[in-house]
Amino acid sequence: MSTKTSKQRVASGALVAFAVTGLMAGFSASCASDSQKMEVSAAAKHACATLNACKGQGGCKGTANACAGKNACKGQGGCATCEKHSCAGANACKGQGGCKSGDNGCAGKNSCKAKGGCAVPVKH
Amino acid sequence: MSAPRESAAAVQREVAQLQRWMQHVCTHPRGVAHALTTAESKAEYDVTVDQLERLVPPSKALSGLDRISIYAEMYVLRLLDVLREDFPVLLHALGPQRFEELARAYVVAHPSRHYNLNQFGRHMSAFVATRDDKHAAFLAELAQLERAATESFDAERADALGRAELEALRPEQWPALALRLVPSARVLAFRHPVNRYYVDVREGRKARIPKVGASWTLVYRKDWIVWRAQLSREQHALLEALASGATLGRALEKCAARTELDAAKLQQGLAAWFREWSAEGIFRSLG
Repeated sequence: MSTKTSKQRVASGALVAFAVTGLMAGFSASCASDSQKMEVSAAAKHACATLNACKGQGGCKGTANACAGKNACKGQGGCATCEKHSCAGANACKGQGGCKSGDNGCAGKNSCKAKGGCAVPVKH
Repeated sequence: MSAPRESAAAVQREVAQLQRWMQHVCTHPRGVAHALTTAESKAEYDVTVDQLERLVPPSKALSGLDRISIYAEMYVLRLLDVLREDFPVLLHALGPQRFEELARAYVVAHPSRHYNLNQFGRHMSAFVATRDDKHAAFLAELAQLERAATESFDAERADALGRAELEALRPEQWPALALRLVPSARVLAFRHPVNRYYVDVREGRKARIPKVGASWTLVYRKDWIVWRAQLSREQHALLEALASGATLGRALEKCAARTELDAAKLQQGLAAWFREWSAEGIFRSLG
């Protein structure tokens, strides 16, 4: 029993050594060229999975995305919020295209065209 | 307090009351007419639909209800936009009409309660799972993957494990090394090949709802970009053990002891796996 346990420990120790060797090699890899990185990642990974906050902002192409440029929200757990939350209230959307898309509250309502109802809340 | 000051304070109170009321009726998922019947609305202004124009006068072309409904409907439509943005592949899988039905039901079942709209879709996977749809199990997993990407994007930043930290450890300390994943990392297990479907859709290939087939995916963020990596069963088991708090030595022992895992694959792959994970910065700094 003790022999078996000892063998297990040796085997486990070897696995740990493999893992740490890999970790150390990874630190070098992170400093490697982009082409080496692509070789690792291109096959199975896809950038900017679902994030419309990055759409059209160049966010899927590099680090200078819509959020990276916003120091106030960088890494604060609120990156996309800067994009999305700004549209949460009607006024915040003024000039943001909020009334231009086909499926929002204003564009579909001919009745509010030019009535002042879209852009200025409770203006009488 | 002087009369003008009292007057200004009264106006401020009235405006605040009006704002609270308007926020409630405009954000109620069942619409303005229903919102007016709620206790929250009545607590501010006890008005019926017929009396609404005391608060919201009509314009030349629109009734008071029509006018305020514009904002109420915009609010819901923007929430639908958020869901479309967060779940584009689920949208593709369901088609626009069924997705909108789902999203409208979701808005009612799970109204937005947090200022951060990235939080809004957090119940979507569980919600989809309860729907009467023969593909509900797959669709729920798809929503889980898309949700993980949003969470990863929004996660708090953390320094990654560095070379100096590892070099400072003696070899006898390695087994006790507590490798923790960075907050943006999500280790996912699915009953369907969800990521493969996701990739097919995103790359414009024809994708059919897949049959059952286990799959594992790692979602993480590096340099402000969210990535997905397909995992093997062995890789998943290892990362899951580490994520649950096991030390490196214990995680490896646990995986080596699991008969459903391929021991040879585990041993042969270890160095390469950890190399990639380290390079991608998925382990958190020890400090």
